[in-house]
Amino acid sequence: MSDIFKLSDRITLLPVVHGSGNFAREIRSRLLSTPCDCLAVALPEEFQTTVEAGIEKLPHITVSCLREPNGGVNFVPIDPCQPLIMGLRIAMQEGIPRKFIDWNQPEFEPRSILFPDTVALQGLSFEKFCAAIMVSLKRPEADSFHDLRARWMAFQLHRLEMEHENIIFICSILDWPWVKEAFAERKEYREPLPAGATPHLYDLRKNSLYFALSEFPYVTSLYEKYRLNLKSDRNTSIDGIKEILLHAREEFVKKRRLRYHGLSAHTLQMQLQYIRNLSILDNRLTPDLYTLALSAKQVGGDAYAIATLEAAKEYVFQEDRDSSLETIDLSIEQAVIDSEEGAVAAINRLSETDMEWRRLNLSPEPEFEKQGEWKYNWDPHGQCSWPPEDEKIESFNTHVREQSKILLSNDLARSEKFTSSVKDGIDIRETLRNWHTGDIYVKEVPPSRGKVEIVVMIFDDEPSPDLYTWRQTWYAEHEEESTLCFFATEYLEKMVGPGIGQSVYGGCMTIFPPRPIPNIWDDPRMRMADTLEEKLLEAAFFHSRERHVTVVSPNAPRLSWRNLARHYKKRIIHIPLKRFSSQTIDKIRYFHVLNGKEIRSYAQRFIRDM
Amino acid sequence: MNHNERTLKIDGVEIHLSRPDTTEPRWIGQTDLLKQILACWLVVSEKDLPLSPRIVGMPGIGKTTLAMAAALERKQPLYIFQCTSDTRPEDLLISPVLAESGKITYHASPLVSAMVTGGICILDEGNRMNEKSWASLAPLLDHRRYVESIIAGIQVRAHREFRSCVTMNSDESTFEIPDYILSRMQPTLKLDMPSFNDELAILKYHLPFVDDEFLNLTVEFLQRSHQFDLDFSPRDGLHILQYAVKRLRQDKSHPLAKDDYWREAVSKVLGEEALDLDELASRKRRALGGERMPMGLGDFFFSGDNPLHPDSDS
Repeated sequence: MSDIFKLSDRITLLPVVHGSGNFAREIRSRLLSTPCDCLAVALPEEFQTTVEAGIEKLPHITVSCLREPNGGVNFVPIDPCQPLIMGLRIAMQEGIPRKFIDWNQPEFEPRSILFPDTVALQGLSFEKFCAAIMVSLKRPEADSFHDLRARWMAFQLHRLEMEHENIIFICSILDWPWVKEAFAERKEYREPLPAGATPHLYDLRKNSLYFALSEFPYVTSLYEKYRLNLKSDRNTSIDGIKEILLHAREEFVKKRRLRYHGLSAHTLQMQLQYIRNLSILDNRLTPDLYTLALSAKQVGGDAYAIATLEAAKEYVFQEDRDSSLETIDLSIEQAVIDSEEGAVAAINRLSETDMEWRRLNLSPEPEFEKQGEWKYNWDPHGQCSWPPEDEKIESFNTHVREQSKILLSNDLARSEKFTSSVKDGIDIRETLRNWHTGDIYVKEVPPSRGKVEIVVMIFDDEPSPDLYTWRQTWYAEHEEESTLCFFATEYLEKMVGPGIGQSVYGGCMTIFPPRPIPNIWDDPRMRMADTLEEKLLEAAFFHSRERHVTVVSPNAPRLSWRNLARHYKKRIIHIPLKRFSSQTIDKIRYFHVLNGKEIRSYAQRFIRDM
Repeated sequence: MNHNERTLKIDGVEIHLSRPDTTEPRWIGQTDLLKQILACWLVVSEKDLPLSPRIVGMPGIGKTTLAMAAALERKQPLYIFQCTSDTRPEDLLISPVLAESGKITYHASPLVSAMVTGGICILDEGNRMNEKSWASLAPLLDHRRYVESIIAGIQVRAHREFRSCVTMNSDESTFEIPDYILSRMQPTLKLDMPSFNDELAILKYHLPFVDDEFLNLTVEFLQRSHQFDLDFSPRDGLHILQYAVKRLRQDKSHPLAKDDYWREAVSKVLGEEALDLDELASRKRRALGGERMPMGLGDFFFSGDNPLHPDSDS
């Protein structure tokens, strides 16, 4: 080990940046490779019992909390990615005696600076990293809290030297030069002030983990998993981000039962590249939660961003109800220990990095109880659509009809020599091809034969009747809206707001210009169909006044569909579903049912963009 | 390349280049978005490639201005291509033009001009363009970074410094863009309506001669319309102010009529129903009741009434 960390022949000082998994790894490897008969840490003596009890409970996360006379608390999170906790954990595991030698006073004084990203430790030695930071460290004011701490710890180290031969001392990198100086110069010290209270160990609620842990809860759980399985955790801080994204994609696809989605490996690669660039512009090497959620929102939409957030804060080892301890809720510099007392100021003793909370507009899933309440209050007599979604489906239908027309007239376009009329424009390609003749060619695109009145869209290859239990025929509210028949999922199963349910089309059929038809799902005249999609197709063939019916589906029309068409003397124009972007399809498939027209006035606030 | 004549020879074919846009717009507010575009265009090594983001939002909100401001920040020549529903691949790349001599000359579009000069190209209102035109850009938007001009019979490779972005309106598009193109235009940067102070600063910047009373009236009106998710943009605000000021100039003798002119401007620019914002607001309030809408990052950790909620202002 380099001499820069040597305080004396018997003491090695390991300076750390609090809240860094990379530093925790470094401390573990140094402790395991260096002879040590005493580990000293920069925490006050009164914390020893609770902190060590918390370490015994790892990977379950607990917090050692000390009440301050002003009503607030200061606390030590028992976080496996905290280098100091890692050091204590290793020492306990190896049977090395531990000493808590920090100075204390009733009210802790926090400090925070902007550290370089500690991921740099992966390409830089511990010594170089610490030396690089040291030049920018500011000396604490004389007789200030942190000055007194440094002098007291130096004195304690002198005492330990008399009892032990190989002492390793872990303290914040911000204290390193001043402890070293006080140790070398044997500076005067003051006795610590009595704390007035003793720390208490609390269980931490799941939702507070993000505010107590230094890494993302998911990354912390990866460190713990690798520890349990004796696997290398060398690149966990970077690979953990990739794993969060993969896990989020998996959950996103599973939850929405998506068959096709745009989150390919290529898209994730672009997202990672974008995350990297955003982090660089924020003077970091790894992203914070805001950057992660923002990039997910901008690459895959709100739903994917929510899945990413949920994945990032997932910590599999924490169960709210399993602990016998009292619980604590933590947020940014605030805590709730007793709900009657409310929020009190809370200072993390192992956090010295500036943390910025940035706002991001995202709508989380409503709570389960809220959904139940909204479902209970649903008026069975009111049901209507959400006009922006009507517009979307109409616009898409217009596009599909245009495409159908192009398909119908595709083969009829022809070029001819220019004589008296330019017809549908000069055919520049044909003109160039015959440049040597000096003739100009014009293009003529004759009108298509026939129109398309009905468009059928089938989104699933084999739609299951158990999934798509809601079947309806909706009539147009005005002349610009189609008559719509569809099968979809039950909207009451997914309430997103008061009087707002969400459903997913399995298939739908639109008739434009609109006209009233009997509900196709009860119409006894159509009885050839066996499946949901065939029922929709049969109704389309039955009601279409035009010869051609456009069918948008994932696969080519089956024989049974063609037989149906033949029976009703119709022709299918097939457009593959893949021709449209999955984003477009999602925008159409996911729709909302409102419990009456008055809900339209505020539905926007609850309906999330796809 | 001959800079004066702005012509370039590629594989023996002489190409005439477009001129860059020299406007120098100023971006006001929403600085995060500017940073996000710059992040997309950042490359950190030889093998790294820039991203081509989509900028989306309501019309008149400043999407093109944002992209122009980002280009200005990077100090690169800026080219803007206005996409339309009848834009053909050759319009987007290289068009043949019959010269006076009777020969064909090849003219590079703003996009190709940006590609070869190492500039930045904004494909404005990209969702107006059809699939066929988009397809011609597929190799440009991935690691290949070139386009093939069928008309000129050449392959044009993009300069290392070439960057691009696409603006799209949130209204219904003329064409649906296929997946393989959308996946190349990532991420999607959504521009929201500006805050009160930003909107005021925007209007003041463009119309510095308008008095504060008119400005405040307009910004308050726009802000309230944003709250009700109406599609009135800062551009509408500019039009209202311009019209109101011109009407006021016609009749300087009645200073008390200011408010009337402003109301007239609103109804002429946005229609009569725009004056009914109050009625719209009260209806909305009645319908919404006391329900709180969860809408932020903090809602993923604590419920809205929790004192620990990180987004609460207390």
